[in-house]
Amino acid sequence: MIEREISKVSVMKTENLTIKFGDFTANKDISIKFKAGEIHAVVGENGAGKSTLMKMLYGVYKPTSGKIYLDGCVRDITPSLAINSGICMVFQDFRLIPAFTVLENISLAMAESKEKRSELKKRIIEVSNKYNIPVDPDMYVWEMDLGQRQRVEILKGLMMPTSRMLIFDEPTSVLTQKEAEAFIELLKQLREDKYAIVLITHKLNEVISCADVITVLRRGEITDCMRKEDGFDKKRLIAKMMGEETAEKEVKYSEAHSEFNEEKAETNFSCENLSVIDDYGRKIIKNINLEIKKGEILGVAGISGRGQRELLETIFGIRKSGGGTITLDGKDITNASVAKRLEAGMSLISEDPKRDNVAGGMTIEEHMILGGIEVPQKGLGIDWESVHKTVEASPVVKRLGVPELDRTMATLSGGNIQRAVLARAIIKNPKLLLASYPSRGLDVGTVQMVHETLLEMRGKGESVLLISEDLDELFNISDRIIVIADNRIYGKYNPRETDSMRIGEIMLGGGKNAD
Amino acid sequence: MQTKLQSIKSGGMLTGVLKWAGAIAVPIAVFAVFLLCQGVNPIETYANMITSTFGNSYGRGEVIIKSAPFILIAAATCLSSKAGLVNVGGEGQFALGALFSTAAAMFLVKDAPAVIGIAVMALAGIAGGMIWGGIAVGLKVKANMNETITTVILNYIAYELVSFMVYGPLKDPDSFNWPQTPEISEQLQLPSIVSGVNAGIIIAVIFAVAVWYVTKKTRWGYKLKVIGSNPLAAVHAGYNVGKTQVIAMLISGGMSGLAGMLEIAGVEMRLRQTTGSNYGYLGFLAAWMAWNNPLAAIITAFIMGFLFISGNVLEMSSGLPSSTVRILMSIVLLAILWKGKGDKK
Amino acid sequence: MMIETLLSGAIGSGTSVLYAINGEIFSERVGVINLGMEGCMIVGALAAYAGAYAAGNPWIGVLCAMAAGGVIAAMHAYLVISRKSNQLATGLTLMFFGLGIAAFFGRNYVSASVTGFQKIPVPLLSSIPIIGNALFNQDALTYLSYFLTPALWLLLFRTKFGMRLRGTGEDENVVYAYGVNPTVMRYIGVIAGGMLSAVGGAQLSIAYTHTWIEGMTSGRGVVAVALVVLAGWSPSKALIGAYIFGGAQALQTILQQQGVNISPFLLLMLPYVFTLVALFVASRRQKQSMPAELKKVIESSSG
Repeated sequence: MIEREISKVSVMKTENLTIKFGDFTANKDISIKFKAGEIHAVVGENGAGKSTLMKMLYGVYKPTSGKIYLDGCVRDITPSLAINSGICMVFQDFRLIPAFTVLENISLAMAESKEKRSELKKRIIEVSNKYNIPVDPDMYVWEMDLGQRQRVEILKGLMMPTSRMLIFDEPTSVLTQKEAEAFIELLKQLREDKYAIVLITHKLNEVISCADVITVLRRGEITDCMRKEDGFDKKRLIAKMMGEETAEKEVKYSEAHSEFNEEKAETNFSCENLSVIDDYGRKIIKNINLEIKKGEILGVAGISGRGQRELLETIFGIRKSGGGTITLDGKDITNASVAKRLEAGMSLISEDPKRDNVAGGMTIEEHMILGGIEVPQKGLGIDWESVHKTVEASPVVKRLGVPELDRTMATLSGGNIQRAVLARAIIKNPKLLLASYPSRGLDVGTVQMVHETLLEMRGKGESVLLISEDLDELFNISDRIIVIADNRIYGKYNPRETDSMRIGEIMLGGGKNAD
Repeated sequence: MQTKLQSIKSGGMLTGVLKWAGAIAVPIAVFAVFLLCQGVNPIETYANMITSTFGNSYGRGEVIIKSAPFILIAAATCLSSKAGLVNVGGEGQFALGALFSTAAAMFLVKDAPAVIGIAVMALAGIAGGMIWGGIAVGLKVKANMNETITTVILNYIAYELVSFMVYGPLKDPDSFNWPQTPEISEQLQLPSIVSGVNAGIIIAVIFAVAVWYVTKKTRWGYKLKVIGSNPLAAVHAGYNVGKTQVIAMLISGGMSGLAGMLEIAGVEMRLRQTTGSNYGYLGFLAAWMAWNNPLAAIITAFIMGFLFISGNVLEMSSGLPSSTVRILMSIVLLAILWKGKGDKK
Repeated sequence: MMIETLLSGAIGSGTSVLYAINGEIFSERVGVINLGMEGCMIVGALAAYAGAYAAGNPWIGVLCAMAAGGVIAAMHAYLVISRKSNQLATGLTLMFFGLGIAAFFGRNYVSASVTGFQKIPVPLLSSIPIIGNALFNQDALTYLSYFLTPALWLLLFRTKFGMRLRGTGEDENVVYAYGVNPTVMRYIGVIAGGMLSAVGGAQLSIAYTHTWIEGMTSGRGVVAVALVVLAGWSPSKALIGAYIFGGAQALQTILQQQGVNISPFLLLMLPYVFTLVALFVASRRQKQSMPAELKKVIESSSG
């Protein structure tokens, strides 16, 4: 009886919530209810305003207008009020301090608690047993992979004494398929325990399987809201998410790959017995023997943090290898400097371009000669006019929708930085493009452009080593796929002859699941 | 579009000017209160400071002479900062430059003709500054030691080294036990051009303009800009960050060393324990006041030169100790830091 | 005998640096590098001297030192936290400012004499051979530093408050998300750090040397900033650097007293050279434990 009462009153409710950043309206007239014992999914494309909305609910952003109700009363939400009211947010970029242990991180989050270290530790173990979230309280967070960090983050939310509403921001994006399934089970268990659960995601399949309510956001506004009782219509959801036009376009490239003939194609890149060393001096990938042909897109699958970054950096020459040889287009470049490798036709897009590839105060145009096109010289200086002409004339720059060339990188969004960096890497027609998550942070339309661009490179006989966390992406545009698991490389596999389930198994199980 | 842009620019400039006015007026007022508390008439003092420096040719000359090393050191600081290095070692690099050039003047080119002798002194001074800067940047590149801290510590070592030299090996035997070297030979002393001002100021300005040109226009300058802005991006672009930083720091140290040589050959004519004391810090702060723009640093360094000289006036006319001017300078700097850069795009 | 004098001197001279290192650790743990520690120390040294002179009680002097050092550090905190000014330039300016202020107001105290802290031998303990005299025949501020160092460690690493301080230096967004105001934490860390350093200055003027000389801290504040790296940002290891520096200082005095024929200026270089060497050695094997917010500051400090 009482439980039913609880579920009737919404834990949190918003009315006409609007937020503006300068001229840009990130959210408009959002009215939404979150109830106890309900999984409420908020779906939408990248940039639809989901994260902004959640940050308002949690008090990180102040709405420009509109009201937020907590247990039926209008409140001015701040992060500390949210915490004290039992509202926990599991952020996409976890709110964890790597230099602290799990115990210290959780203790930091327990602002009010007077528990001693030992008591807290005991309770961590209790809660983690109850919900089957294995975590070692004394482990440092920097030692953990992303999946483990997320578990700590969830645990932190559950440990709060008054916790009753959990907001998850793209929770499964860092998880493997199996971990994601376990996570969904956890959500269901939490629903049983009468938590109000808010799930922000763009992965429709997951949502349809577990949500009670789905709200769709597009360009900052609610375009649809469905309840489980009425049945979820996936087609309609997609249309509401993407806008009617784009949803029609099926993304399918596989036909292009039928012509790839591994036997006949010329070798472009190869490495023998290459070992990759991580930041702590451990061999994270051993004895790689790999060939990439001309006109091949080689996809790299693997759970994040298994040496993907280190592999690319080793091939690119930024990281010292642990032995082995590297050859590009017939030339041994094992001991070549980064500059020499760039000259030989390599190009790298890092997994974090903002950190590795751009200088904030410089313009897009100035960046085009930074490891991109060759520097046109004019006396002691640089012929910027010629740079400008080359870039203006480039079809790649246009197609990717690179913003105005005189804008500085510091003023660009993540997606736009990605566009600029991508254009720079491709504009010089590299022989081998090393690409980490090139479609990360881009909207569906631009992702399609990126894929088309990569396929076009492939058509010109250039090679791509593509790292992605999205198996669909890998299957759609790769000619062959390799998998990084338990410190070695498995494959190549032909995506036409295998399926994502199989690749997923190898990612998780490594050797015992491979041939 | 064009006009809109311009109007934004000029509007920004106006508020910029106002902020600057505030940053200048506030410290003047604060210092005036400070003077009042000491029983000194601030208006009289300020008037004295200005008339005694700009009111006569001797004062003007003194300010220009003092500005020269500040400009050189500030330009040196600007250069290394473009490469992402915070070089606070102008003090020590200057000292080593002064020491080396004095030693060269005493032992190598005592009787050499002016052109050769001065050139050798200059080279020695540059070498001295380079060595001191090189130690700091070497420690940074090889052992990842923060150059800000190492350069300051090296300043203290340089001071002790100079003290040791002027009390010991380089001491003038005829100085009646004063800790100083003998005066350098007459032909090595830079001639005065106008009213006591030597070529130092011209050299300093040329260097400042050169630093501006190199960092702004050349390919190497572009490289520096990337390294200073994001060293990881520079690595990814195939730049040798360590090597470029070493070169930038060597040039920077060399410039400060040259300032030391100019001080010996053009102003002091001999090395003392106190030669160039605080010049390095003032040059560094002049560069910061100019947000590491070498052209603007010419002006800020000139202001430093003015404050430095007018400090003597405080001492003579108001009976205040020489430390008073340090207080005035730091209040000015604090106001500028308080004001902030403000023009972030 | 010589070892005893050396140890005793190392501790006596190193204690001021120990306070300053601990002070800088507090500041850097909240993500603020304070080169102005030199300024905090020198005004601390003078304020302690003046306070003890006026009140006739050295403890009043210590309080004055803390107040003076706190003010300098508060200026640093205001400029770098609230006005977002450059930390290195601001610290340097405050170092300059502190030296100027202390020189200005210190004129009158150059020849004044005060009742400072005297050496108090601890019964029994001070008669332990070799180390007894060095460790247990010291002044009150030195004894205080023995207790303070572990206490500060406990505060930083075993209390919630300490965790919030450290958390602020690691990631201000995280602590903010848990209802801690990082700005307040930063102010606390920086000002407390300045006060600690000022006590170091007081130890130098009214406990160790019993004199006031212009510029008497001679770079100890800067050296402390350097030695924080050697200490790995933890008070537990602050002792090493402090006593190395103190030892080098003591060695210089001893060699001079022994009539060894080396220029005093070469010996005066020793502590600084030792500091650089110690840092160099440490850099070879140190795991990075620099607070993450501080790393951001250091890496974006130029340009």
